[in-house]
Amino acid sequence: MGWKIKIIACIIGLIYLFLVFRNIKKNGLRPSYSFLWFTISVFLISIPVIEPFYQWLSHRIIGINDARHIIYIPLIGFLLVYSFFLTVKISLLSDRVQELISSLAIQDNELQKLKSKEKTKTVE
Amino acid sequence: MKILIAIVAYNEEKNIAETVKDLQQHNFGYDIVLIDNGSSDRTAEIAKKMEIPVVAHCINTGSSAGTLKSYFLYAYKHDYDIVCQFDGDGQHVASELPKIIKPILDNKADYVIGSRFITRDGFQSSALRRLGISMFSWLDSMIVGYRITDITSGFRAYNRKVFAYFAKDYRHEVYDTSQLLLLSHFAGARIVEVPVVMQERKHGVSEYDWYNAVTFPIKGLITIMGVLLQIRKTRRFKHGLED
Repeated sequence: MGWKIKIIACIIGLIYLFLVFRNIKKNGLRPSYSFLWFTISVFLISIPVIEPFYQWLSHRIIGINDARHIIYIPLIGFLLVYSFFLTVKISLLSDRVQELISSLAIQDNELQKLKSKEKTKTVE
Repeated sequence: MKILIAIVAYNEEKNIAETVKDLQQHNFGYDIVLIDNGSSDRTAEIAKKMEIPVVAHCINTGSSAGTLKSYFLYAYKHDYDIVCQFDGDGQHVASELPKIIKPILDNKADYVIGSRFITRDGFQSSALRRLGISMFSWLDSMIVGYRITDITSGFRAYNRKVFAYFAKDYRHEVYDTSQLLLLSHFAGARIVEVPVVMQERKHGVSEYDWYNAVTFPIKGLITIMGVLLQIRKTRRFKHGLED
């Protein structure tokens, strides 16, 4: 694996790690959502550090001749997993939004009823 | 028996007055509420002027199925015994209401569907839509084990067991009539279809366009698959129907 790709992977990993921590600190990212981003950052940073391990993993275990592909495969996998994870979250959120809209509409209706009752009392 | 008629409407300012008038003229002792699905026109305003309580969604929640949760919750919180859905587009006829309420009053059903396709009187919908309806009605009939002819009919009545189940136990979005029917069936509801007459909407266009026509079969199949995968979970909540 060339030194250029190792440096790029490491820099991207560090940027991601910085963004993850910054957003956790600012409450912009919940720990449950940041877990996958944290994992991928660590993976990218670890490439230049434990490159022989990834070489061994790609050649012997997975059977990939070009070790550079070991970067792309987990990245694509990560994006697919993350998209799926977000779709599940969106579905859960739509359930909650529907429930909130219904509850809010009913409470608004009750408030209007109370207001009109009060108006009638004041007129009397 | 406290009966609630829930008019569901989205941008129906041209039809709503006539719908409300029809319901008021034929009122045999039921309450009426308008579930306004985030209309941007005067639908809610017209209903309020006609002294109908309005439950207005702050945003549109998609098709008319998006209003189910609201009227189930409204009926549950206000201690109604029966709730009927009545479309605000003028397709449903108030004089037909006793037909869908009677099986519940006679304790012969928990969930009644008013079907256009049993006697085939009145408005029958477009050929393309009828094809989709008959396909999914057949599929749902095969699953539940009895004949359903009008799966997408919005003219329905439910007793307290059913709407309490969806208001209290089933905490997910109900987005399809097929899903509602199958979930109710697996939760133990007795479902009956009765013949009703409907009429064509006088103003405006239906929410079902070409996009819906294309996506309906795909979404429908996924919905059915989803409910079948949830059978065990649905049965676990069966107590909701045995209150």
